[in-house]
Amino acid sequence: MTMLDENDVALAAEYVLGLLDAASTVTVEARIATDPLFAAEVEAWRLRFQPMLDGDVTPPAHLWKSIENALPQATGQDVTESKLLFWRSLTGISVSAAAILGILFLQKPDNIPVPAPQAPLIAALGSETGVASLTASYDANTGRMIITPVSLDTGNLYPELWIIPADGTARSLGIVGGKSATAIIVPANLRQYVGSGGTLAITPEPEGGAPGGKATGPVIASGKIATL
Amino acid sequence: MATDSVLVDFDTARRAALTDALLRTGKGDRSAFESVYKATSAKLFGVCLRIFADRNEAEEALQDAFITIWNRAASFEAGRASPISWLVTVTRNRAIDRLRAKGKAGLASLDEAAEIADPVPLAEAQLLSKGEDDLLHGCIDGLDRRDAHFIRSAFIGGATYADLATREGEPLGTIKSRIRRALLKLRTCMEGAS
Repeated sequence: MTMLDENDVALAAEYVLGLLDAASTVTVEARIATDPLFAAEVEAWRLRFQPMLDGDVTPPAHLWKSIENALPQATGQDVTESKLLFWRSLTGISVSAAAILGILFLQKPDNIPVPAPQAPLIAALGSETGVASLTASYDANTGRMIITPVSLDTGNLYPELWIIPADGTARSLGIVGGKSATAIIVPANLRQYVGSGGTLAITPEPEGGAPGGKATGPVIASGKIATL
Repeated sequence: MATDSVLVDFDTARRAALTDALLRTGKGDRSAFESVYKATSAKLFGVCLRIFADRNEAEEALQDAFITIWNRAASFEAGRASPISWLVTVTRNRAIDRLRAKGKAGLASLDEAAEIADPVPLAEAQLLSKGEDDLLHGCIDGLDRRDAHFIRSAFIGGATYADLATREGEPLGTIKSRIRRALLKLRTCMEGAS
């Protein structure tokens, strides 16, 4: 954590006003996630500008009913649902919206015999605005996943990779390199989750990884796994 | 200053109750969500009416905002933001997204924007005169008129630097550096006064 200078202060204001383009917005959001002093300046600007939006007006009574009706139906799976909501909310995008993030298509080599051919799985992990932060490729035969950072800034923290299957519970795949490619061997008990339809996500975490296997940082990048 | 401390206590209690309701909403508690709605819908409808002059559009924006609040409540971190600031930010950002999707962002002329930013355009508004409110408007009024307009059309009209540069027919860098100077001036004015 360093002292903020005038550039930082102006940047925080530009972000709150919504003046920045998508790429700068992503950078600022990553900084908010990792720099408490900068995050506090952003919050201060929100409070400074808030009076521009003041003026209470009671909405019509029917509006609450419409909102209530638009919520997903309550189910008995509260725990799963809330975990899923937790992840959706952290990413700021719904899991389905993650599908719009760019998925990289690798050229599949022709005429190369492979034992029990299984299509490679790959995901591009983008931030909310769709800029790729890193890409992942996975070979189901070997359980080997290669994580290649494109533009990933976790400040003083370390990027931890998570797999979130359909049940919405995030399972850690460990800390990955923020600057250079990392190869990990997905543990056998987690391989069942690394299939099409799962989501990979990155959170900034302290050295050694999220304590107790529970993410402490916000999701700064996520992407759905696709089969090629 | 006994009066002040009573006010502060009241605000603190209200904030604590709202924080609690928002945290429970994040765990899927619908009755807590209803408490959040009851406590904040008038304020957040006011936000939508600032951004959408049309009442129907403002109602749709408010509905959209509350569904977003329900979906994202789990990401609210009590230690990092006040609950009302978080709710206003989510509502403002959703409304601006809608404005942009409709292709209406950043189009307000100088006069229109001044009208939008008028603190009392709404007859039915229950307006509370607040020190902070006066402070912001006073400091914005102290800026160059164009800079004040740029700031308002960004925050309320959804204009980005690129929109402003196009609209003003000026290089992006020129617009950016004058707004950055104005923002620092605004901060000095507001921090100096408080």
